[in-house]
Amino acid sequence: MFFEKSKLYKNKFFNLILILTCLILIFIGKLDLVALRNLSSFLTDFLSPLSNIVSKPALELENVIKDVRSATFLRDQNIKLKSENRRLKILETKLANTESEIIELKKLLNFKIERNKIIFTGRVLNISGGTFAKTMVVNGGELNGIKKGQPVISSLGLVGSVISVGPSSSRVLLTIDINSMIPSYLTQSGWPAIAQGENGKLLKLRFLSSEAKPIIGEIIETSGHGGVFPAGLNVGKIISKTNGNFYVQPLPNPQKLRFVSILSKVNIEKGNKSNGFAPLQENQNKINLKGFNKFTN
Amino acid sequence: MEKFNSEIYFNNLIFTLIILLACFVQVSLNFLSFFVISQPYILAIVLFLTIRRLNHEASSLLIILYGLLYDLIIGGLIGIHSLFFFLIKFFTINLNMSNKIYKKYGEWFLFCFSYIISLITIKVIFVIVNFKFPDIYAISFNIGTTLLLFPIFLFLIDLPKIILKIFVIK
Repeated sequence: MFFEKSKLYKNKFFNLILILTCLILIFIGKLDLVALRNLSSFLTDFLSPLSNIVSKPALELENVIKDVRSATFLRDQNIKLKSENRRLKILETKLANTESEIIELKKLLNFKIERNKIIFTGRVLNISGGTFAKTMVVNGGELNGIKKGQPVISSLGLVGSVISVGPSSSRVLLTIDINSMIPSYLTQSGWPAIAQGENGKLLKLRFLSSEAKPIIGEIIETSGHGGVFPAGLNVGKIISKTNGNFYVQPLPNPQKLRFVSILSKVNIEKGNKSNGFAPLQENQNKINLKGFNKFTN
Repeated sequence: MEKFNSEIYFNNLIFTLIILLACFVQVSLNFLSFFVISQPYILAIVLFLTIRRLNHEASSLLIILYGLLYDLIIGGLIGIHSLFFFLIKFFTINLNMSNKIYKKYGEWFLFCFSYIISLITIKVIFVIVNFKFPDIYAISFNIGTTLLLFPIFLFLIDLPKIILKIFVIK
């Protein structure tokens, strides 16, 4: 009814072949061939400067929008930040005590302490956020010591993992991508789950025990299961429950990311001293008895 | 004959440049925070309008190649955009609305049809290949923003013509 018969049947065979070619391409793409991966890395590497130039106007526009927004809410934001700062200061002192206690207890139990070493911090060149793939390109590659599978973080938490590496750029699979699955645990109730991307804005919690009762606002962290992601990285927080499924808002917003760090795990138990940033202060080689050590020194 | 061939080559060259530029613009859209959930398919709009406005039919093989290139650039599933672009072209050319509907709603209606049918077909293939359901909200946001942006693009393309008309009449 809607189709022009003559035109449609004229190229029917040719069109069919082309559709089949596309389907074969999809099948080949799904096979995840090394040659295709290398080609993708090469193209990303080759086109990243051009992509960077074309992205400039969008970045500038975003900065202008951000400036206008922040100017409008400056007063409210200031009040909010002051109260948040006060709250954080109280939390900081509490955290410092708890952290030193945890270190002491871990040492007493001869617990293997894992430390994450930042091997590269780079600029985000572009983010592909269509409805089919959620990836980003970082301006560091093999030459900077980046390898496939390494976790990528921002100041707020886990961003994703490296999926392909070129000589001077690498592609990162974001946590919100449909192919991303992160072994995590609920920080308050302690239940393990898998945070899976849906190519949208949120992550869905899967394989969660029926006994688990997650709380809205609860923070999700990486559990370290499987050894791909180190334990204790912030993934996001639970924001909603729909049809019995819990949805997690990733803490780092991919659109606002400008710089990211790529991690490699270093086991400091084997005598390797961490050269990178160490958020936890390492205690001296003695048992720290609260309140007594000061007198013995 | 030679003149005709050179015209086809020139058209394809223009088409290539427009699509390549649109690819990069599409990627750069992700930095804009007002497209929170998903970004509109500017590439689909550009492809549709280029196919409609070019004097000669754009090569299907070229369209598949650009889809492949775009998949390699964004690091997505290879071949998915090749099929998507090809379907857009296929429906744009072959979906011939009855004159009544076309006169009433114009190009926007034709774009809606070709875009939505192509996207749904591709999404079904994507779900079969991945065995996972993508976020419906993100897809509907993508469709909505793309369809809303289409008239703006049409207006921008026709703007020089409108201005010229006003001056010529005056």
